[in-house]
Amino acid sequence: MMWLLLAVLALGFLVGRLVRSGLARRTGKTLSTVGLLFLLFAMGVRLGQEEFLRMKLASFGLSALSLAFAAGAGAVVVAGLAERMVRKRKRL
Amino acid sequence: MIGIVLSLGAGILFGFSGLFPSTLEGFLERWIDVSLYVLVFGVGMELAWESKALEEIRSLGLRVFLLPLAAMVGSLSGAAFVALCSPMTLRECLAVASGFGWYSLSGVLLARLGNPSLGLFAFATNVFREILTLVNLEWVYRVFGGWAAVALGGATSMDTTLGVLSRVSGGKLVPLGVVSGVLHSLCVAPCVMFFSRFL
Repeated sequence: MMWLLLAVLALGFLVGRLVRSGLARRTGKTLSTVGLLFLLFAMGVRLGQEEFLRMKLASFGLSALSLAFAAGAGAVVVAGLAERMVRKRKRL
Repeated sequence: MIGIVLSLGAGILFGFSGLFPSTLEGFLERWIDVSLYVLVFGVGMELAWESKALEEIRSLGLRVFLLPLAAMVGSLSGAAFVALCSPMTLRECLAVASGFGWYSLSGVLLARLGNPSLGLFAFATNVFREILTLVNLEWVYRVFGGWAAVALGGATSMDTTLGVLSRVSGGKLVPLGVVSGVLHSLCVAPCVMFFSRFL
């Protein structure tokens, strides 16, 4: 799946490079927007259908949310600091 | 941003209401796959016009690997912090956070490794991480910068959150998102197994 996705990304890039017109850019933007909204809706349907998730959410929902938040926040802080460090070194 | 929340929220409500026929399960999976391919193809076309994004990758060189590395260290540090102030053990928190947003793989792996309830917990945690990313990516990019925005998505920055990354950064973060997402994805299975078995 991962490699197939990378291949599709590369194919889109290739088509965009070959066409190289404003139309290609607009088409790319429309495709990615439509794809994103359809994907999110379908993902939402799948999540809403997860029977076990609904049943267990009341018991461990808050713990799961706090762990997700902490992991995301940790990633944001450390990556933000790493970016600052890299940009500072580039300037030196 | 409103479109993102509305699409996801409408989908969750629709699925939760039971209006979606269970006989169309296979169709839903195909729908997700096709939407993902359309999204990624469109992002690729947009990327062809974003010369700055590729220049950024070129100028970073090997330092580009610093971003996923920092993101993984940050995710695991956040999880370790939760272990300090919750009844969960460090091993459990680190194993669950090692999903880096890839809920299907981390949940299944932990369940197969003999801990089905931790598998469910990993599934829910990583679903939340993906939803938190989709909803917060825009302001995280504005306040903390590009690397932080990519890091927030973890493994999802190469697929489901790639479209939002592309949207908020005008395509600039797409190559970084792909590199970071691929590396995160490659590390999910070894990290989950390591933390659940050996730590």
